[in-house]
Amino acid sequence: MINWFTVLVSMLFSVALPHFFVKICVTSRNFNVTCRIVIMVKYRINVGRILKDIKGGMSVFRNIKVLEKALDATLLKNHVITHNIANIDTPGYKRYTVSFEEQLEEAIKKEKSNGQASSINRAGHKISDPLDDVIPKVLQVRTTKMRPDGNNVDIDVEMSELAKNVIVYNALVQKISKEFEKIKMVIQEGRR
Amino acid sequence: MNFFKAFDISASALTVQRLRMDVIAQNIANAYTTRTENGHPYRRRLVIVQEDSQDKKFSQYLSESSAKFVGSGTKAVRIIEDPSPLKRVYDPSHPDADGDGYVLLPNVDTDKEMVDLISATRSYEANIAAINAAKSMAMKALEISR
Repeated sequence: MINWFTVLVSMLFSVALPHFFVKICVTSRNFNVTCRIVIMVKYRINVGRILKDIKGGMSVFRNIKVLEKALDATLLKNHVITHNIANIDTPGYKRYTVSFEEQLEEAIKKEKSNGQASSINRAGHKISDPLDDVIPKVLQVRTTKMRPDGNNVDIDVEMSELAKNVIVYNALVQKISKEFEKIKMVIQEGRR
Repeated sequence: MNFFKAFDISASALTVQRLRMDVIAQNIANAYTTRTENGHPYRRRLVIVQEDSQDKKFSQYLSESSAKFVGSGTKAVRIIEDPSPLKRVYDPSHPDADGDGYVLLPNVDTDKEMVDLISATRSYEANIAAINAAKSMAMKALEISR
C-alpha cells in the first residue's frame, strides 16, 4: 500500500535537503514506492549536475582525476616520511618534505578561470590541462639541526605527519569511491 | 612509483636497528674480555649507518624538484672498533696483568650500551609504526570503488 503521506513529506524534504532525504529513503525501505520516488529525485539531481559538467566541457571523470593526483602525492609523501623515520639514526641526514597542495589548488583555480577543462576548446584547438603540470615537489630541509651530529629528524613531527597522511589517504579513497558510485548510479538510471 | 616502496624503506631500517642491537649485545657480552683472537683486549664495536639512495646523484634529483624520489631507506655500511683508550685497572691477581699489576679491560661502558640499546629499540618501534601505516593505506586502496 502506498503511504502517500510519507511520499509527500519525503518530497518536501528532497527539495530542502537532498542528502538528508536519501537517508530517509534507506530507513523506510519497505515502502517500495517511496523508495523509488526518492531515488528518482536523487537521480535527477545527479544527472543534472553531470549533464551540466559535460555541457561545460567537463569530463565525468574530472573529479576522479583531481583525486588521483592527490592520491599519488599522498603516497609519495608516505614514502618520504618513511624514509625520514628510517634515517632517524643516520648522522648528518637532513629530512625531506613534499609540497603539492599549493600547486593543485593553483591548477584548479586556473581551470575555473579558463571556464572549461576540456582538452579541446571551442575553436577545436587542444589546450593543455593545468592538472598535468601538477608534479609533487620533494624538498630537503637543510637549514635546521636537531642533534649535534647534524641530523634534523624530529620523530614526533614525523610520526604525527605519518598519522595525518594516512587519514588524508583514507579520506581520498573514500571520496573517489563515492565519485564512482555517482557515475554508476547515472549509468543504472537511478536504480540500485 | 612502487606502492610497496614504503615497506622496503622501513624494512631496511628494521635490519639496521636489529644489527645495532646485535652489536650492542656483543659489546655487553664482551665487557670483560681481555683476550681476543689477535691477543688484545676486546674493543667496543660501533655500527656506521648511512642513508641509502639508489642513485648516486640523489641531491641532483632533488634540486630539480622532480617527483622521482630515489631514497630507499638506510643501510649499515661498516662495523668499526671504537678507538677510545682501553680501561687500565689495577688487579695484580689477574692472569693478564702486566708487570706493574695493571690489566687492560675493554673500553665498553655497560651503561652507555644499555642507553644505545633503548635508542635502537625505540627506533625499531617507530619503523614498525611506519610499516603499519603503509599497510593500512594499502588495505584502504583496495576499497576503491567497492
